[in-house]
Amino acid sequence: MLPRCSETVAIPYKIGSGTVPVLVNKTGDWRFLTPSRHEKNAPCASACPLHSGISIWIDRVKEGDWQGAWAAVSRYNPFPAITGHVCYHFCENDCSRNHYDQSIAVGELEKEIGLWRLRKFASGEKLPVGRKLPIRVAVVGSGPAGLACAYYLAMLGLEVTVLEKQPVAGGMLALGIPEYRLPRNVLEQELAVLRSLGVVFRNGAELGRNITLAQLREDYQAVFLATGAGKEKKLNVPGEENPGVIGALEYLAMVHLGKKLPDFHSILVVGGGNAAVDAACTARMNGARVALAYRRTRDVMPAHDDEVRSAEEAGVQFLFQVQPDKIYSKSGTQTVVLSRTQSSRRGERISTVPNSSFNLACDLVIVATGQDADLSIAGEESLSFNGQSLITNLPGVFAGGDLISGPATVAAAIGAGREAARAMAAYLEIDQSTPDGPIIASIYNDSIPVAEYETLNPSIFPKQGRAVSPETEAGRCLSCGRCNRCGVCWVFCPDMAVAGVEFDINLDYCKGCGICAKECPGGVLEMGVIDSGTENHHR
Amino acid sequence: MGGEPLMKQVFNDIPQEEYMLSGHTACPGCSAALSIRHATKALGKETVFVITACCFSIISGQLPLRTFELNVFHCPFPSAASTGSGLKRGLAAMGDTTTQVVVLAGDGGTFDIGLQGLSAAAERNEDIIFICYDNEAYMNTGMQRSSATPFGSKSATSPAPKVKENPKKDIMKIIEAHAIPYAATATVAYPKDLLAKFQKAKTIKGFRFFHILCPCPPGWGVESDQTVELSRLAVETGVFPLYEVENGEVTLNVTPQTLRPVADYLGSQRRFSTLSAEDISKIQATIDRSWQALLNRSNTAEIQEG
Ligand code: SF4
Ligand code: SF4
Ligand code: SF4
Repeated sequence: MLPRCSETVAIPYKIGSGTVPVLVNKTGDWRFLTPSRHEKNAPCASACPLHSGISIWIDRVKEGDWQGAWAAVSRYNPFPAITGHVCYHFCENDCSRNHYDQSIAVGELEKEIGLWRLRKFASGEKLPVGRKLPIRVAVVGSGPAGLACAYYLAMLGLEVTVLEKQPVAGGMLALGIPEYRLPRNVLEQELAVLRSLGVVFRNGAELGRNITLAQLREDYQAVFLATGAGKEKKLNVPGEENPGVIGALEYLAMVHLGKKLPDFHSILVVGGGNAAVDAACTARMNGARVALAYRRTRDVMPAHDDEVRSAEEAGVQFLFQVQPDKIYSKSGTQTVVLSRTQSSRRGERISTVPNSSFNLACDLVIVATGQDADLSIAGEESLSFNGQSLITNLPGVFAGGDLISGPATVAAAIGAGREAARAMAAYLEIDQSTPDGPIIASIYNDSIPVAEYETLNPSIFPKQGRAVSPETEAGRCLSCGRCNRCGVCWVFCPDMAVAGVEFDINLDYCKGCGICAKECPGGVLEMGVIDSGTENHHR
Repeated sequence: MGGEPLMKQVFNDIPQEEYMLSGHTACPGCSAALSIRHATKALGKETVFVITACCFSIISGQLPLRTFELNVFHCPFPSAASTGSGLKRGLAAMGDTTTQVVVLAGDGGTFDIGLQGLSAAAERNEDIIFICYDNEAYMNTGMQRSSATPFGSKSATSPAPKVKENPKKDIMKIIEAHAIPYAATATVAYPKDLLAKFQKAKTIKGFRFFHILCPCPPGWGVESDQTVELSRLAVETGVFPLYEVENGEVTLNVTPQTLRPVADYLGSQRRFSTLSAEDISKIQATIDRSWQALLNRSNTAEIQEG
């Protein structure tokens, strides 16, 4: 290298350059606005019903650190293999990368982590439970809410008993959701993991029938009620009580319990929600001709679009804007009288088109017009709920999932189970921290803003669709709202005011140009007036 | 399986060494300072700058201050290329054949005042790198128009409504006519492209020319945080295509599938605030023509976008 003139070695020639590094100019005092990091909620986490810390566990996948990914995801969702299969991935709809090329395959990544963990379990690697506490807790209902709560309580070291009225555990996961959406071996493995954690399942135990809440309150130090919303709504039309008319949940449960059903050749499903579509698809797979009657138009159908599409592909025939008026039953054949309806939005009153009725004959009518929670579980106790809160009027009794919210998603139920476990741990004064971090992730804070999509620089973030390898696909995640140490701010600072590695901003030299804030892919940096001694002397 | 996660590449793909120091006196958001910062990362420590009268006369530090951890030689306005040539030959005479002599000139020192010396050095194929960082006017002396100022732009010497009537001079065509081994355009919005070009230029002997478009917040009437964005928009709209010319062969480096409308680029710049819709369609037509001409001449496209 050529020496600088500041160096006094004997050199054959000398080229000019100053002797004093320009670092003596503290150009930070030119600044009017100061960049600072503000963590925000990621759009995916905000859309996720259980507010999973998606970008946090995706970070681990990026590194190929599956153990770390499992540790991170399980603080939000202990059953990623289940949600990876059944969740409609609300996160992907809201993913920032939708504005650019394609959303991150969050669902697939989640499933990969879950299946990775289940393979580990199958090869004998148990989940570590740090301690055992002599505290007995009961979970009533083994649907996703109950199972999630049981998982966290067991991880906290408690003695957990899960009570389930059906002969099999899993609730909707076992009896409601069709097999093509959730392979039952996944559920079975998750149940095996729970058993290995010491969770005891008592099947055939039905609250309000062969056990009472009062008894549970005596036997257990805390109780979580997660009995779901299994009471099916009625159509309120004449003929509904005929044996050829059955609720969708009842039908699905019979199919999934392997009950012998007569051979139905033609089935009419009434309703437009996911339960209706699930029942229709299941019936179709069992060989029947299936029509689904919904009283409004397709665009306002409450069922998820993916579901409706796969039902169409399976050959379910859709009848829109029709509703049943009457059902006649005669020697195994149901004749349903249907009327056409005027178009209406959801929540609006339905009015029928005069003189539009027609008849439809079938072997079975499946009614899927909604579900309610069955509140007879309380028995003699005067149980009352408090809005969407997990806490009931009875000390030590918690409630959540569809029982409280009405029919919702598997993910929402898992989230409710997790929050119930958090509330129960607090009630029982159990510390949930461990040397490896907390068992339950910290609570989602919806008062902080959701990061907005910032224009991406294609030379740094090449436009490309989803990748095959999970690590590469995870690498596409922008970790919206959270600094992922990408270094873009460092790359684009004209004043070398961003230090590498940690990307801290050196306010001695930051002129406040705002480029870093504009280019940061996660929208983490914001420009603002921060009063300090070194700035704003121009004002 | 595998493949490096994209996010990690951002930091790791850019050399971490810095040859420019904080505390320099470029305006906030200066894309020229940023471009040269990245250029030095590629050029490395065996570099001596020859700086003619331009913003960098100031940015590089007024004595006794120094911004570059590199040798710097200041020279008079018209003589950038001649001084660079002499310096390179002098070094060679002293037995130093490896040091890169890099001339740093603004658009004034390239398109106007330095053109004669530049042409002469290019014609002699002097073994130097000539960087023109083009902020499209004499920004350092108060934003007077140069022959690099685009059509329709306001400047101190072409104030509204008498905005500049003539198109920008096509310096790349002039340079190409000298049949030098390497000439390239670059903007700092594509830092890896810029770095790769400097890395390539280092390996070539003879006259190498860089034309870097450098959006200037005070001169263009834009906010200081817009300079990288505008550098990108200039490429995406076809106002400033990224390409290199190696021994007459043209390679387009970034090929948007469709160009964005030029209004996206012009819209936020106050220097263009007097443009009529008609002016804008005229500019659009010119861009479409020259983009097509460039496509016809070029080889492969390296980055596909759009
Ligand atoms: S890019 Fe990543 S953090 Fe951002 S919304 Fe998509 S999945 Fe979430
Ligand atoms: S640009 Fe990257 S490193 Fe800088 S603050 Fe944003 S996320 Fe963090
Ligand atoms: S890019 Fe650099 S100078 Fe500009 S605001 Fe950010 S840290 Fe400050």
